[in-house]
Amino acid sequence: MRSEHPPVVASWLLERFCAAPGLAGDLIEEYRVRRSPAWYWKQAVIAVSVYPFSQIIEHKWLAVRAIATGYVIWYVLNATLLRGVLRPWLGMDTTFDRVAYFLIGYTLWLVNGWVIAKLHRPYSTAMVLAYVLWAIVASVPPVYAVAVAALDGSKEGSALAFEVTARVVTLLMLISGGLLSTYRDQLKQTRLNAQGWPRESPRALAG
Amino acid sequence: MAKEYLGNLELMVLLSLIRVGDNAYGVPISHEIEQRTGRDVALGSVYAALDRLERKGYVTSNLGDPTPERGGRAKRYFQISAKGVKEVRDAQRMLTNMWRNLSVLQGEIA
Repeated sequence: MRSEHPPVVASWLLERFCAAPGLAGDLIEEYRVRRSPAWYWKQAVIAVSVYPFSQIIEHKWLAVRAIATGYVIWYVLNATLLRGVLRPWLGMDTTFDRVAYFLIGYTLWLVNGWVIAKLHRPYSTAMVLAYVLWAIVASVPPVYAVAVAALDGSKEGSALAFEVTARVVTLLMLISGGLLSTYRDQLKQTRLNAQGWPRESPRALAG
Repeated sequence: MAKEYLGNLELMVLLSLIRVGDNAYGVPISHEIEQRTGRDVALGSVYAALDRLERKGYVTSNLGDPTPERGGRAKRYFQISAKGVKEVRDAQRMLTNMWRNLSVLQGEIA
């Protein structure tokens, strides 16, 4: 027998990556009346893929601003403070130093995603995604260089694995920072709704 | 500012919105498109189109009250604006002009 509740993971993805007010409720309503879990999954995947990209295309200049903001934060925190100040100070001699360095570095990426999401409401998810896409494109040359070096033997294969893993973790931290920020906003909105605040158009709220 | 023309899906969504009338939200709008055109359009795509239309000023929206059958989520109601109605009329006029006197299509019908 089919559960009355839609697939949990699909709902989670929808809530976190597709900030379209009303859409999640519409999908639940349809699912309970006449649809299958496979239909719900398909709709969730389409919504998560289409909606944020549609918002990036609709708000190109906001996306450019999000990328510029992320770049400035990266330059100040990661490139200047972390590599220029903290790394020489830590010395990177022991395992503890290296672990501490990477933990601080990834926390700064988390902060980066959080700040981008905070500054680009109500399009937080889409704008964090814009920066993530830019970060993926920016990662191609260094990863390619390490891959070539690994192929000609001047670097070990583990160096390539490390490079790729480090960049994937970086992207995950960026997304997590964005998700944390939007989740906090959603909680705040739920509290306001519970207090009976007037609910207007999301666009009007954004303005 | 350059005039923004309606896309195919946007026009279908606007026409469905007019047909559904009051209390139009995502589910009846997508049902209307499915019944009239035979196309199963994803709700996410309908919402993306509605967001574009709202940005262009062709529709307005407001959130209703959360209901238990929707897992405690509110409905988002959409209304077509006067600018939206004018845009649909313009699109109809433009498409009718394009269709007029097309011998190839007339031959197919005959």
